[in-house]
Amino acid sequence: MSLGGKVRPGRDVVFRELGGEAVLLNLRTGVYYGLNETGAALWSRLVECRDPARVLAAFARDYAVAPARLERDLRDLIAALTGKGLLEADDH
Amino acid sequence: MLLALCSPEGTLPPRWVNPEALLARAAELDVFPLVFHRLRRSPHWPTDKVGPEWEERFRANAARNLLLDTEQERLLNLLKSAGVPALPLKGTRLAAQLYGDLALRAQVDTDIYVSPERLPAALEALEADGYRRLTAVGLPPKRLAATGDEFTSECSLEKRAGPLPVLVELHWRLLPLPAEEMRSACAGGALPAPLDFLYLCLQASADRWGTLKALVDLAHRVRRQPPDWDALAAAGERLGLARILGLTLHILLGYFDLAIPEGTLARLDSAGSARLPRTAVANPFAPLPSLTPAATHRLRWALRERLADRLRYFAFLLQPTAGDLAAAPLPRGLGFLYWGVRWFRLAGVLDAGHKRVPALAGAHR
Repeated sequence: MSLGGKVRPGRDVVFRELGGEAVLLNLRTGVYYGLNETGAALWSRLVECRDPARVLAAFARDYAVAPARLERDLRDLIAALTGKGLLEADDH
Repeated sequence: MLLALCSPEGTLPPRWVNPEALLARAAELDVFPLVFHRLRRSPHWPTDKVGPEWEERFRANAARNLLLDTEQERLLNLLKSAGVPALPLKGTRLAAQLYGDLALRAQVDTDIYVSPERLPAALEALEADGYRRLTAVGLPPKRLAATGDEFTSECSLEKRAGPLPVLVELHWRLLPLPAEEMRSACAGGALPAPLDFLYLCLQASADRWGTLKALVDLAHRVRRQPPDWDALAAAGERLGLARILGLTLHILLGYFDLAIPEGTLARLDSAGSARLPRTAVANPFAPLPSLTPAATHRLRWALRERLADRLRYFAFLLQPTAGDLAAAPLPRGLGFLYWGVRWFRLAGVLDAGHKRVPALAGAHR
């Protein structure tokens, strides 16, 4: 999964912080996904700027995490969310 | 220990408690999300001793509530567009109000109130949106609006869109309130505080105070948003609900450490002095024992403290209800036979069936 393109939330996807974690739900398919605090922060930034490369740069600047690990985690998250229809590639 | 965990203080159990057993009991009693959430935040939460299925169950409930909350807001807007003022009841708004988080209360449907005269328009709008009636199928909405009392005036609807069925309970009568009062509550988008509290009491009484979830809701309500006790007692007296209110407060005091003024209890006790059947109050930690229809009606009769309310209840009892239609579908021309079906149903011969619980399609992390 490349971090080069842009992404956007899937259609019919809602997000809410509930019960100490964040829940993503696709209203159309019923697929849901729980995000921990870091995952929720990544999701919020992705939704806001839609550019994974920029999100990676911002997190690398703000958090004391090895860039390689951060990149792997972000890549995994995007792949998981895309696979479940919660995130889509933004071609526009 | 379960009670302590569910109390507004959320007291944590000692370290030696078996969390799996506690969670299983909480699930049986329909208070699992609150208990799981509080246990999980405990400093000695034994991650290694608790199966991942509990976390998944909690998340599935959170996702279902998110779905119900989103759908409820959409439906309120839909009804508003159709010129139908509507009120959300219980559900996710109550969860957010009492627990500060809509994931902490278990629920399977969304409850909405509309006034009886707006019921036909509400049904039309919901059916045009893809909902179909599960009860009272084929019953003309105007006829439906005349059925039931405050315990049973509801119609179940379901929308099956892909893998996410949503159940809606549409209510058109809650309390013996003047129509004008309910209209202004609908216009304001919420029941006035005393009526909201009385509605929760009425809900608890409908299950003979034998549902732990209802008692936990009320305890949190008393602690988080203490009522204006004088206004609440006055509203109870005005609506003929002082007996139910007084009993509810005494039952809450039996389980929770709550600050309820002695003066309010004494004032309400004067309405609660009537002799109630032994079956009036059930144990919230045991399966709710079923009552015969006759015993149910005797209890509901006894809980009504005014003669006018008792007569009104009796009159409603004899009229065909939405449940009669569901129990014995008849061709339109034979509708008059429902007056006979009513008697069979009163005797407990015909059952109207059970509510289904919708499940979400998947669970992932």
